[in-house]
Amino acid sequence: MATATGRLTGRSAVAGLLGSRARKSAQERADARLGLLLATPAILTILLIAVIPLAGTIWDSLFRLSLRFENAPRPFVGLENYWTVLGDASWYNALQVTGLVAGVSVAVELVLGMIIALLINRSFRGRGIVRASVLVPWALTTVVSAKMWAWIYDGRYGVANDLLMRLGLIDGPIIFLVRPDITIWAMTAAEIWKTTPFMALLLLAGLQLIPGELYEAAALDGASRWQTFWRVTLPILKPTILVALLFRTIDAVRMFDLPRVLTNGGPGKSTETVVLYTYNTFFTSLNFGYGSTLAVMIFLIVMCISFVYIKILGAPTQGARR
Amino acid sequence: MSDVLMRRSSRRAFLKTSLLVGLAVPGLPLLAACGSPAQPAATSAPAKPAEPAKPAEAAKPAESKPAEAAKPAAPAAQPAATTAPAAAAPAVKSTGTATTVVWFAGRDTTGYRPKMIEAFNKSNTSIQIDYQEQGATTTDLHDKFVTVAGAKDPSVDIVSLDVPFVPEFAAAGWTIPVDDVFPKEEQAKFFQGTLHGATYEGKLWAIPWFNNGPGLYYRKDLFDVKGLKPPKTYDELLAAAKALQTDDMTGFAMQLPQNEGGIINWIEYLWGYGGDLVDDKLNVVVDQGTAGVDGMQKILDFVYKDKIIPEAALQFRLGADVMNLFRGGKAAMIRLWFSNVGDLYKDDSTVKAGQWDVAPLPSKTGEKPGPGCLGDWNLGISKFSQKQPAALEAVKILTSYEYQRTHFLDGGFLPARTAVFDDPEIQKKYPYAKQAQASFEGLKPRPVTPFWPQMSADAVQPAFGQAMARQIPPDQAIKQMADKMRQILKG
Repeated sequence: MATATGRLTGRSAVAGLLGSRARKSAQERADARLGLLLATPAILTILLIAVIPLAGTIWDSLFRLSLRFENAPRPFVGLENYWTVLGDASWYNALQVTGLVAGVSVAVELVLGMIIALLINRSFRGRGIVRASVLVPWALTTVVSAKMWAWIYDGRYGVANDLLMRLGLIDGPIIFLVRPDITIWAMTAAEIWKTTPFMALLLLAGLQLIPGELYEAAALDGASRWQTFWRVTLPILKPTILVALLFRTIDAVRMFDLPRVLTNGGPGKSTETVVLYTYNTFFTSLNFGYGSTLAVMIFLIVMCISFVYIKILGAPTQGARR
Repeated sequence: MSDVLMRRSSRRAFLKTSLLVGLAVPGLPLLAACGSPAQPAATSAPAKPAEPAKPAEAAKPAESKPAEAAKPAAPAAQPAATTAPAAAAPAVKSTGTATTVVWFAGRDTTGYRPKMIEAFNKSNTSIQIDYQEQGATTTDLHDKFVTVAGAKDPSVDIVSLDVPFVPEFAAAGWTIPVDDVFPKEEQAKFFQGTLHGATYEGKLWAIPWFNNGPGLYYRKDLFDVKGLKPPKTYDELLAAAKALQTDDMTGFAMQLPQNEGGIINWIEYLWGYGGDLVDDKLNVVVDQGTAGVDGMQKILDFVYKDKIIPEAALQFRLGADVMNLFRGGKAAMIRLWFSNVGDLYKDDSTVKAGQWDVAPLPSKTGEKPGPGCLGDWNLGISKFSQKQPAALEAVKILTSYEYQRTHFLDGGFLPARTAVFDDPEIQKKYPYAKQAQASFEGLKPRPVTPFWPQMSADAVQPAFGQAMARQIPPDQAIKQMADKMRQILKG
């Protein structure tokens, strides 16, 4: 319905551009008006919650803007803050942490999520319950699950240490959250645990769109399961996979609540993500100008990731149209 | 055929939507910045109409201990009329309806304070308090108030202030000085170190509310059995810990995580070895001399070489973590705040009264007790409050002798007024009160500068955390810390 209206609006807009106003029927003009009217709330909402704050942040990022002292001057510094970011070791550290955690967690989630989706796409007794319970980690508030993982990793009472010691893999308890070499992976594991269900859910939705007759045809042609997966499932699932990757990558880049609750960036700054660094710049350093600059940088990064994925996404659709 | 087409077009629509969402979502973190004062137009929030009074709340049926906090003072030792008579009640007129003031406070795990506020609201007709705890940690309270005050929003009247908040909020222009309404003779009745912590650039910015400092909790019963005395020096501490340590009980424990609670423990050792973070003129001196390195090395030795502190101390983020160890009978000695003492009086404490005591902190030489860090809480007034007179009046009552006395007696929160310690009932109930009083006389604040929260989070905590995790040696940690502190002070 919305698509239909959108298409109509588009067509009349093109007609308007070509200067063929006179040839438009009254019906078409009414449709165009209605389309615009229906789209207005969405456009206003996006303006209000995305464009205006974004513009405000970009504006702030051009000032030296510290709330530290009441009457401190707040001079316009142009792009100086952006210049500072380029030489900011803390920024590069946060970028590295974020990239590492996001890359590893999204890759692992894709594999695990695919396995889970394939499993729960089959029909078996109690499938409904299994599907619902798979979603539990994702449904939990991140702060709650982060606290939970903090207990799991606890050096004295933690389940993780208990398990590893019972299995004889370690001799004494490991304090997971204060070991620079271990903490970041402990955090990544918690992130994977939490968001794999989301990946599985999106992939499952994609799997269910694949018509059964394709599998029947594949079976008739004598394809093995492995061949069916590579030649039928995966190609049809590709757009879904890309969308899932897009969502998860953007999410992972913006990771904040897990590190804030689990490690607060420590030990040292070994788990400080870009958003956590930005938050601290705002609220601990009270440096709202530079904080805005960091926020804009994150926005740019996320936008680049989006464009890359969408470019890849766009390709097969165009091919199909031809 | 048409089925396939339909599916394709709907998928395209889905992709289009996802594109929109993908672009809109990243804008969200930027929302954080939209209250910043670069845009005066956006921040001059329209004045909120005064909140309607809540007579219904005041008239709630009395349940717990009717108006306990307001009961008359003990007849004998009563040094001062509590709500400063000199104040002459500025502006607050009780014209039948009460003024409701909003109080942003930190979390009270004892659950006592809501009851105290209920009693306050029952006994005061002209002022009602809307008590709001902001999150679990001190940082949560800090960040919430920064959000509100940064937007010049009038929705907060009273704010609880940890020591480092005082200069920070004063410099930012978010709280108001209270010298004028809080006369010198009234100030003289407080611990001087505590008052010092509420002072910035010669002005008093908040009224001390409850006091806090560290002590050395020890197992008196075990010490007696071994014929030991509470340690006066770091070496005696080590010897006593080794003598008492068993497989099931650690000799000593303190908080050593990478947070404010952790670095305070090191700062006390830094002071103990004669060093400091900054001098009187705010020059960074932590890397001058060897005190910083020695203090850090001492703690590292306690953990990794002498093994009298469990490694798990590196993740004791809360004072309660250390206290649980002690009251569960798993530690012979701990360095902890007096504010945590209440847990030892609870029924579920394995260690009972008579089995424990508190001593002054040990020091390097033992001539004087080791220096303790000031950790008290103050009450300040938001500059953007539109009910400042009422808020001030409420703060005066809450910090009065009588309130500090009941706050201690019933809630376990130690007073900032010296005279409360002379109360016979207090002395009877809390045998450690004398020890706490002695400790409070010598407390030192962390660097009194609006830069401290940033210096702590960006310079001291990461370096300390890396050193404790043995990622870098102490000398490198101190150098890294000092460099970063200088960089921050430059602005």
